[in-house]
This record gives sequence, C-alpha cells and structure tokens, in this order.
Amino acid sequence: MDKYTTLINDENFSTFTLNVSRYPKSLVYWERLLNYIVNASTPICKSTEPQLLELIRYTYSSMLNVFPYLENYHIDFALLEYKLGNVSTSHKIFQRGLQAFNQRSLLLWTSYLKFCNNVILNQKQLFKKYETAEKYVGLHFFSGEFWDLYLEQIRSRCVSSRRYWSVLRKILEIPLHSFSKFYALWLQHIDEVMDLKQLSQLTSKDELLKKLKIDITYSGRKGPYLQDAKKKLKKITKEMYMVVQYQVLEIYSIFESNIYTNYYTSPETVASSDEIETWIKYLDYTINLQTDSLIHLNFQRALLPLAHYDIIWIKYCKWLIHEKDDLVGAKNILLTGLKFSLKKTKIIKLLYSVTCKLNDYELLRNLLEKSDSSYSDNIENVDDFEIFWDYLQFKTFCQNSLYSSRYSDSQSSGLLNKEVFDKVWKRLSYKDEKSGQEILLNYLIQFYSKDTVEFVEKNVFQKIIAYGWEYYLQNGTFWHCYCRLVYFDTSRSYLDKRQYIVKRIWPKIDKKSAQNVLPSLTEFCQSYFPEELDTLEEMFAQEP
Amino acid sequence: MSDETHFTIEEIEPRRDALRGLDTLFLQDNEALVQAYRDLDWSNIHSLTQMVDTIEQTVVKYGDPNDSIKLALETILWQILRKYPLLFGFWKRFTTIEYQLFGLKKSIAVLATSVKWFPTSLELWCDYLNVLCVNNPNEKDFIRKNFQIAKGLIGKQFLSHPFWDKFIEFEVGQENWDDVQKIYEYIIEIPLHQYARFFTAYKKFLNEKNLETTRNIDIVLKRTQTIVNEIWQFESKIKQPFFNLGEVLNGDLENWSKYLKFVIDSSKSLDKEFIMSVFDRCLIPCLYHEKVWIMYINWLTKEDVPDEVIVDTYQRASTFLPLDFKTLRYDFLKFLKKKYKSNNILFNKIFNETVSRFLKIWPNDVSLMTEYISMWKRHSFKNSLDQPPKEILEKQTSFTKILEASITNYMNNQIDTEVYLQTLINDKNLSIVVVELIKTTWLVLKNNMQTRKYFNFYQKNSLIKDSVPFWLTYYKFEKSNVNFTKLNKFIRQLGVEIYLPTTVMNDILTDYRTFYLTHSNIVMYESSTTDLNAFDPILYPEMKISNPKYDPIVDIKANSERYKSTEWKEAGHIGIMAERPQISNSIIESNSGNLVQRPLNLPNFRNLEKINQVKINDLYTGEFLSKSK
Repeated sequence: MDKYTTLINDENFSTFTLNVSRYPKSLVYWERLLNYIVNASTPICKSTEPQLLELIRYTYSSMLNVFPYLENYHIDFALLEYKLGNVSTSHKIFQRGLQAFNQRSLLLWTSYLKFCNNVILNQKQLFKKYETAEKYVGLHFFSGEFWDLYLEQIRSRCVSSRRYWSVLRKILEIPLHSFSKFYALWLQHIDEVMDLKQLSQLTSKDELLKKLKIDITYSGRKGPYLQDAKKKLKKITKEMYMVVQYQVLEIYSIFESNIYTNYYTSPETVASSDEIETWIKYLDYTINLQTDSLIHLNFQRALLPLAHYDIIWIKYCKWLIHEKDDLVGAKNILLTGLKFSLKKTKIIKLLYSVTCKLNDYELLRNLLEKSDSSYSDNIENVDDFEIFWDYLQFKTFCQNSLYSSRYSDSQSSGLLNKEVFDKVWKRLSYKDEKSGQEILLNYLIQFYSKDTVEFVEKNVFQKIIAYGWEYYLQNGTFWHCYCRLVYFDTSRSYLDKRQYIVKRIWPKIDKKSAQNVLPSLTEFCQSYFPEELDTLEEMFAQEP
Repeated sequence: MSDETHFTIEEIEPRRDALRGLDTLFLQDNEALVQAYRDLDWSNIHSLTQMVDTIEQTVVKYGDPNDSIKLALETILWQILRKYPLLFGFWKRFTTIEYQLFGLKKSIAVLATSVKWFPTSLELWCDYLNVLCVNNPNEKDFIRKNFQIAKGLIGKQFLSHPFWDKFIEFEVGQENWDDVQKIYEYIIEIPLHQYARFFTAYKKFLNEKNLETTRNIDIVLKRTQTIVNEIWQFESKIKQPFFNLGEVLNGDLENWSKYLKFVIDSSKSLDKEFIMSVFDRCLIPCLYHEKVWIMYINWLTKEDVPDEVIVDTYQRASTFLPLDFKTLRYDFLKFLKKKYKSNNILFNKIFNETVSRFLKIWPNDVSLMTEYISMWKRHSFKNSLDQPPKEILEKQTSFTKILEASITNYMNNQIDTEVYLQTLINDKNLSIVVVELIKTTWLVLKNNMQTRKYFNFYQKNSLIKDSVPFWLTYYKFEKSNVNFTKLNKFIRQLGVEIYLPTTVMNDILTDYRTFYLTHSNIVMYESSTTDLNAFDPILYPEMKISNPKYDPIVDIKANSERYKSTEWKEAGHIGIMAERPQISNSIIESNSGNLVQRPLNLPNFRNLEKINQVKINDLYTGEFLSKSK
C-alpha cells in the first residue's frame, strides 16, 4: 500500500477529518489534522506521491480559507512549494497571504522578501518588491528586521551608495524598536567619509551650506575642514536621535510594552480587556499622529489578535468615514469585519447606513435579504431584538421607496407596509417570549395622520385587546402608548381626544390589572390632562 | 402656675452668633467658652458635650452673670437642641443651668419645652411630671392633664414603669380609688418589663380596698406574660436605646428590624398603640434612617389611621431626615396627591406648602415644578367633560395666560407673590413652565403657529437653551409635523449649539435615525443629500452617538495644526501635557524609490529644546488641595 492509501484508511485520520468537518471553526482540530498529514508524509520532497501532495495542499488552502489571518501557515505553505521547486506557486501563496492582510503583514513580508532575495535576480524587480513592502509595513514598530534586509540587499547589489544613504536616512526618522542600531550604522558611515564631496550624498549642497555652513567645494586645507564638518553632522544626528528616542520611548512605554499578543489566535481565544484597552488607546494615539500608512498598519495589527471583536472593525470604519471620507473603504472593512467578528449586530447596523450613504441600494437589499434568510426568512424570531429592529428599519426604508411613487395611501408607508407589518405583528405575537415589544409599540404610534392612526388602532391595539393578550393588557406601556396614539393624532380636536381616551380607552382596561397599569396611566394623565386624575382614580378605586 | 408657664425657650431668637454683643472683657476672660463655641463641630458629640461642659463651668464661675451673658449661654444651648432635640441628656443639663441662672420657674419651662420637642422621651416626661408634682402640688388638674398626655405618648413603652409608678402615686395621693383602679386595669394589658410587679400591686390594692374586677385578671396576666416573653428576645438586645450622633450599631439595626417585623405581623394582633410605641422608640436612635420611617408610614397606612397622623409622621420625617433622602419625601407628595380627592382644599394647601419647602431643599429638582403644575391645574382650573366645551376651553386658555404671564414676570424680575406659581419658579425649573405653556398651546389649543413662535422665542433665553424637556418637546413637535428640514437642522445643532447630556443626545440620535428611516424614502433621501457635504440623516446620527462634537466636514486647517491641540499634547494622559518633540519636515511617508531621485533635506525640529520639560497640569495640587485648605 502506498502512503496515501495508508493514511486515508488510518483511523486517526478519519477522526481528525471528522472533527474538522464537525467543528470547522475550531483551530485546534485543523492544526491536528494538518500536523498529522504532514508527519505521515515526511520527508516531503519531489518524489512524494502526487495524491499525498494534493491532500497537503488542499488541507493548507482550506485551513487558510477558514483562518486567513494565520500568518505562519501561509509561510509554511509557500515554503513547502518552494521546497518542491514550484517557485511561481510560492509567489502566489505569499501574495494571496498578503492580500488577506491588505498587504500589511510584517511577518509575511519579511519571509517573502527573504524568499525573493533568493529567487529574483533582477535588481530592479527586487527593489520594486522592497519598495512595496516599505509602503505597507515600513513604519511598523518592529520593522527593524525588514530594514536590515533592505540595507543588506542594497549593499550587496548596488554600486552607487546613493540609495543606501537615502534609505538609511529615512530609517533614522522612524520610531523603531531597534532605532539605535541604525544610528550606529549612520555614524559609522559618516566616520568613514574620506572626501568632502561624498557629503553631497547625504543632502543637497545648499542645505549643507545653509544649515551647517559646510561648503563642499571648500578649497582650503580639507583635512581639518572635513573633521569639522563631521562634527556638525554628528551634532544634528544627535538631535535627531533625541527626538526619535523620545518618540520610541513614548510608544514603547505607553503601548507596545502592554501588548503581548502579536499574532492571530482563534475565535475561541478571549483577549484580555487590558490589551483591548491598550489597542484602543494606541489607535487613538496613532490617529492623532496623522500618518495614514501608519494608521492603516496599526489597525491591521490590532485586527490580528482582535479580529473576532467588533470594536476594532467599527473603529477602523469610523476613522475611514470621518477622517478620510472613504466610504468605499469603510464598506469593505465592514464586509470583512462581518466575516470575522463574532458579534455582528453593530457592524451590520453601520454597514446598512454606509451602503445608504453610498447609494448602493442593491447591496442594501442583498444584505437585508441575507439577514432575513439567515434566520430562514423569519428574522422576527431572532432573540437579539437589535438585529430584527435594524433590519426592520432599513427594510421599511426600502419598501417606502418602492411604493411611494405608485401608491399614495398611507397603509403602505412606514412600518405599516404589509410585508413589514406582517413581521411586526408576528414579533408582537410572541409577547413576553421575545424582547423589544415596548420599543416596537412606541414606534408604531409615531404616525400622526388620521388614517395611519386608525390603521394602527385597528390592527394593533384593538386586535391585541380582542385577542385578550394578557402580556400587553396588564402592561402600563401598552395603554400609555394607546393613549398617546390618540392624543397625538393631529386630526382630532383636544376635546375629542380627551373624550375618546377617558370614555373609550380607559373603560377597556381590566380593573384587576389596575396595579400594573395605573402608574403609567397616571403619568400620562398628569402630563396631558391632570383634570382627569379624579376620574382615573375613581375608575380604578380599589373595592374596599 | 403663674404666667411664666407660658414662657418657653422657643421665644429665644436662634441667632447665628450667640456670642454677639458680649462684653469684650468677658470674652477675653472666658477664652475656653469662646474657643469651644467657635470650633464647635456640629457632627461630633464630644465637641457638643464639651460645649455644654464649658457653659456649666461658666455658670459656676459667675454664679449670677448679667443678662446678656445669660442670654448668650441659653442661646447656645438652644441652638444645639433645636438641631438635635433628641439629646435628652442635654435637655436635663439645660434645665439645671436654667435653674442656676434664673431659678425654678424657667427651668420647669425648659422641661415643658423639652417634652414638646421630644414628646416620645420617657425620661423627660418623668422628670417633668416629677418636678410638677413636687413643686406645684396644688395644680392638680394641670398635673393630671399632663399625666394623660404622657400616657398617650409614652405610656405603652416597654420600660415605662417609672411613669406608671408616678401616676399611681399621684392618684393615690388624691385618694382617687376609682381612678387608681382604672390605671391598673389599663396597665395590666400593656406588655411592660415590670408587668408582674403591677399585677401583684393591683391584686394587693383590690384586696385592701375590697374592690371587684369585672374580668378575670389572671387570664389577662397570662396574655400579657406571653407577649412580654416573646418581645423579650428583642428588648434584651437593644444596646443603645437613646439618640446619638454617628452610626447606629449594626446589631441594633438588625434587632430593630426584626423587632418591628415581629410587632407588625398581623397574626400577632398586637395592640396598635403598643406597636406605635415600638416604632417611636426605634425612631429615637434610628432618627436618620429613612427605611424605618417608610416602614412606619406603610404600617400606619395599612392600619387606616386618620390622615392627620400620617401627614404628621411624614412631616416629622421630612424635618429630621438628612436632605439627600428623597424617597420618603416624594412618597409624601404621592400620598398628598392620592388624598387630594378626599379634601381638596386641605390637601392642596399641604401639597403646595410641601412643594415649596422641598424646592428650598432641592432647587435643582425640576420635577417638583412638574408636580406643582399638575396639581395646580387640577385644583385651580378644574373642569370636566360634562361641562360645555366652551367652558373647558376657557379654563385652558386662562391656564396658558397665567403661565405666560408668570414666565414673563420671572424673566423681567417682577415676581407677583400673589400668584403662588411665581413664588416657586427658579432658574432651573423655568423651562418646565415654558414647556407646559408650549404643550398646552400645541396639544390643547392646537395653535401650531403660536407654538412655533414660542419655540423660537424661548430658545434664545439662556435659562431655556440647555433644557432637556424643552428640546425633547421641540423634537416631538417637529416629528409630529414630519418636518425633516427642521429636524435635520436640530440634529446637526445638537452638541454644537445645543448642549444636552450625552445620554439624552444618544437617545435622540438613535430615535431620529429610526424615525427618518420609517418615514422617509430613497428619493427623499437622495434629494436631500445631493451635496456631498450635506447632512446625512442616516449615517450622521450613527457617527455622532457618544461623540457629540462630531462634524462630518473635516477641518483641514485644524488637522494641519493638530500638534497644537490638547489631545495631541496629552497623548492619552489626561492632564499631562507635553510639548512633544517632532521632526517637522519628516520624510517617513516618502518611499525610498522616490527618495533616491533627489537630495534629501536636513531635518528640522520642533520642540527640541523642551525635550526634558514635561508640563504637568497638576489638578490635584492646583485645585483639590488648595480648595480643601
């Protein structure tokens, strides 16, 4: 039997695969399965059975599909292909991995660049890669390793030292964890300068003359003059060092030293509240610095350990909207967040609003449909009232727009539109089994024209009374709402409203529920017609 | 007794400074007294005791000081006892001091006052009655009258045997055998600590006088004995039956709570007056415990006692309870509203007085005005649906007229004290009156034009500008008109021009988005947001939640100078501002590919010189410490 057949007939293998299919969101089972397959196939090389290789590949990509933030597995996978000699596949895997992070993964980039150093011979092409990486992760607090790689490649591949000086000069300004090392390099290189003319690689002639009073065309005795110039350069370097050191210490002591998890965990791992707090503050701090690429990068960094919390996604989205006016970006962030975050309510809510603002009603309708269908078209059954409620509001908004042009009758507007109202009524009929009933009632009475008031009275309040649903009939809010519905009807006169409430609504209340109902009715009465307090009290006076 | 019985120390004006107008020489000679008075710590019983000690020493020292010194000394005592009338020891010492300063009559007057201010004090009553019997043996009717009063107030107290002894002794002295028997008959039903002694004495008395009883007193004895045995478990645990400053012992509190629950247990069917005496006694040490008062009142209400008793209890409670206790005081208002129907004039009067008094305690509590207006409308603009519509509407119109006149008067600082409402308005609750005016105009008189005029007019007033009820009413009004233009404007002004508490704003923002979505449609939405910077009624409220200063238009200038802002300087450490150093021509955002193209500039620095000076806005020493000095 070949290895592949042995493996797939193995009892352990079937247990592991079963577990994975049963709990696809559980990272542990995936890891166990993958390790098992890899161990069973060692040594993996070109001569490994193709079926087995396919199985490994399939497992890697499925796993990365479910957990796209597993940086290390992207790398393992890519390096595996490299080992097998499939360089272009490796490239693809690295690039797909980077895509999952919007190009902002320091770990992936350094691994990828190390790989590129070996496989890309064209200097221009390679530096293009480095420049892309620089753009996305160059400002990472721990990007020292990346910059080391970059400098090393420049030194080994470039004849001119111009690029080297420029890159090093840029690094000096970045608040990096390992910043001092680069200052040492810089000072060392300055020391090595033998000729005044070389200084023009650092900055322009004019700058040197203007700011440091160094004239590189100096024609006198050059030896001491150069020494003097170096002293001046060291002085300005020291000043720069002080500034950057201050920034690094600030970032490190307030934030970075309090962040322990710099990698993706899993949906089952709980992040410590301290760390969440630190990230929130760190992000606020970063936003204040106003370096966009760093802000994006730090958001992406925060998402690595906190991908399953809605808070970072929402913060990211709000920053994009508020500071960048980037609604499309915000929408994309929310769509990704929707996949990752365990709590979705707030993300959906914001997403609905953003799609409206983008006038992307197609997407809005899709989202609404998806929301409904994820509860098998009975979103009114959901326990979380907010999900139902947000759905309902935006659904109403869409429905309003469908009908507004064709019909003018009020019964198709607002929450009273048939399709929406059916759901509202169903929800109400769950009585105390579901939450949010009082909020629903409260919005149902916010219609002020004659026919809408009539509709609500007939189809909600009178219907509930006719059905004798105790939950509502014994609830003060229900009666309070009923009274307000009538009292705010703009088409009725004051006396008419008062008469109707006192003579028609109040008598419908069962005296037995007076205890529960009276407080809110008294509140209503006291605030709109205290003259009737006597009547109210008499009506519900307890029998001696 | 002569005219002087009518004198009470209540006539002494409780001056702020009791030592005012004293001879400087006297003040110099009595530094201890001055010192004790000036440093008097009203919340410390030792300080108060020391004050009284010093007064006594002064009295001893001078024997018969001049009138102004006498007045000063009794004023101090009176100040203390007015504040803490339950300090019975102080009453006793006051009596002695008055005796030394003025003689017998005035000291008796002090005792008479003491039982008025502390009517449930067994000790004070015994002292008072004792003094009366000894010094005015001929004033029999007067003495008997006082015995009767005391009987009602303290006669049922568990330890009231000294009082009963005195009473019996008094009646025996008069050889009033019928009355003596009546007293014994009364006593034997009371669960007294010394009930057995009274039974024996009664039996002896019956024998001696050869009198008969109408009932079998042994059965009564048994019953009384049972009750005494039952309550003994609580009585024996009372460690501190007297009033003191400071906390009541936890053990005592627990014991009282159990005791009270026991006595009010209806299955025990204990004598009502006895139960009241237990409450009265509990409220001596627990005077400041709202819960006990509430329990007392609830029990009284259930027992159907006359309204006056309940009103009196409420009033006593609200006199004594610390000012931050609101529950009982609000219960009182509720009670008065509920009772209003049974006696309109009386309860309306008490209600108004109470609201007025509470407003003095809590001028910031606007709900009192709401309560008042509702009662006022109910009482003074009474109308019913049976009346002709015209009459009803006339009442409403006159109601609004007075409201408007009152507001105008208040704003012009010309309060008409004839209108009770105007005496109650203050800066905080003016908005409530305005809201009532607007509500009536809008919903009762249905005058939308006038309503909008009022809104426009009053929102300019600084007292109304930040009022939550005012703006909530405005919001409701525009919602009922489905006027999105006005509503959008209002939502946008929130937090920028209209300052409401963030929680209220969050509620409005959440509600508005819902209202907009359910009452608008895509066409309306798109036409209102054609301009990119226009207000977005769907996304904007969402972004503004908990972020009241949110403005959708990014201020570019503010951004470029952000390093000058407080947020930047504080970097998350509120109160610690740092002029943080920066490279002002930073190149970190330029890519190396571009950097290679041309020579780089040398760095420029900002705040480099301030690198070691962190400016700390030290609120702790700056404000807190200097204030507490």
